[in-house]
Amino acid sequence: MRALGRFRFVATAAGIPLCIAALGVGLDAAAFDRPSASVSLAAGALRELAGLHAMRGSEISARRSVSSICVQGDFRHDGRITGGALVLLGDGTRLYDFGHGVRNYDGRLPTPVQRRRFQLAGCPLLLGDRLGSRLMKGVTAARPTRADGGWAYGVRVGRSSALELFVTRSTLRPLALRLPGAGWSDLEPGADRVAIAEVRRAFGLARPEGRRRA
Amino acid sequence: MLEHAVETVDRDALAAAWAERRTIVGAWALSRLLVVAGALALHWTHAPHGYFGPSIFHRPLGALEAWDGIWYRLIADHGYLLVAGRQSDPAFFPLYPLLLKVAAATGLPLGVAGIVLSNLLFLAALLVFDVFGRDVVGPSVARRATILLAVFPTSYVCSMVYPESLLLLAFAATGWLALRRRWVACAVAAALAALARPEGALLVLPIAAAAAARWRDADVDERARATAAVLAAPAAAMSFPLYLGWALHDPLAWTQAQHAWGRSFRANGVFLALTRGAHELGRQAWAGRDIGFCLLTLALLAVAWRLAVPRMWIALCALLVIVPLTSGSFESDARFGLVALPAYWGLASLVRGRRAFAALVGVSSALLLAATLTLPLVFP
Repeated sequence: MRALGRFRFVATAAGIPLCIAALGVGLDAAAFDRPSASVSLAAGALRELAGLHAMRGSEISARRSVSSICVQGDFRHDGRITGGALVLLGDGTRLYDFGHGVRNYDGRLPTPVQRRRFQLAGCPLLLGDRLGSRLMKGVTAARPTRADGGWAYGVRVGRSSALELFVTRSTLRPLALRLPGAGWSDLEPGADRVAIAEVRRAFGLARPEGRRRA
Repeated sequence: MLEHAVETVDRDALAAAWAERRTIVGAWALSRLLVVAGALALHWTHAPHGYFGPSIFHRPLGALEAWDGIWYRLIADHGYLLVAGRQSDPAFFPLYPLLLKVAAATGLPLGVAGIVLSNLLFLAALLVFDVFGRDVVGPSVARRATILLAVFPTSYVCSMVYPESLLLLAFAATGWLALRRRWVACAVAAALAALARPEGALLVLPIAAAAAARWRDADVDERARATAAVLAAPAAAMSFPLYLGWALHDPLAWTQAQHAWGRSFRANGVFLALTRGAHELGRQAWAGRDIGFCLLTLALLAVAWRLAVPRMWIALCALLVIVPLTSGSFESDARFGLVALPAYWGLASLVRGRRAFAALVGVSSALLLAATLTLPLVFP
């Protein structure tokens, strides 16, 4: 009799919360769409980008190839620590963006070619921002393809996106970037300490964590 | 003959129920009129722009669909998606967008459906809060508290595409049902609160206290139902990570999204919130709103303590404004404190005279309108 009472107690005390939890999951599953395969793939590619703070790039154009290194992080800018991206091009051009658009380190306005090269440098967090803001609202397309000699996915986010990111099929790490009408660049995630130090030096940030103006 | 008698009794009961509640319905209607008028004024003047472009002024009630309302509509439209390192929608609990989806099935646009839904839920919340208050602090304080909640300056959120009305309703219903020892219904109300916002899980505290108070006199069946009610809110809250695990293959998506929203727990969070709060106050006056309402809520809870309000309700409501500080910021604390039900009882107990009460209602209504008119400048 006592065992029956105990069973009834446990069945009610645990059964109702379990039913509630199951109902909660079931209602959510019935009500909300799950992300499509393309969206999941794009989100995975963005997750990879979010873990990167530097990117090496190599612009591929008919005329000549220009290498680039992008370093992202918090730098001292205009007397404040600000998140931003520094890009050092192979020809010595120094470009940066601290949330107010692309700027030239030497004070001149960046030319359209320099703006394009800044984009093709594939700064991971900027690229993630650009793709991520469109991902939840827009149409996402992911197509299997080949890039940089390997199997890849081409991820395009947003209805009017002019940007296509190519990622490896196995790890979803960035391989290449295409800006239709503006060209291609091969991407290589990360950069060694020497390369990062070189970029920092070029922007007058040789001392630890940006003591001087970027 | 008998049918006629039943009809008369029904009509009488209905008339009595209406007579008893018409003050609340009137307070709700007038306060919501103020909020809608404020939103329409924003639409007509197209100012202040604040954080938004002209898009929120295009629709007559666009301002009421803004801020988190955009995210709730996004969830109702597309479901959940975690975007690593960016603010994304798994930070928002599922019940409100689910109801939004149901409301939109009537053919209304999502934003309008959300505004209608929130306002109706707010009316229901006021009615249930009044009933709950009668059992706790008596009819007079309860009624004044209900009217003060209707015109409370931050209650404009209850007309926006936000889950606060739903949470208020679920909190009040849970409290009332626990007092009446209707444990299964109490479990359902607590579960709804926990599916609406994570702080709903904290309802475990007052339900446990109510169950403990009844434990000795209860038979096995009632004890089992009371235990189920205690566990209902955490169980419902757990269902969300389980769903995210299934849908996004990441049960921790909520935590990650919260991190991107700057809402992750820090051991020194409260200290950071206090030091940053002082700094923020010097930089922009809006920070004062959240700090002020947080302190006001805590002070009113202290007053409610003297009214013999169940202690665990006071503990729960203090946690509602203190726990968010562990993220290192006072941001939105005014909104989080809106659900602190005993604070309104505390406030109502302070204004006993008719004139003082009318003056407080007037000031509060003016602040409610001002808060609506400044909606584009600062998030709720």
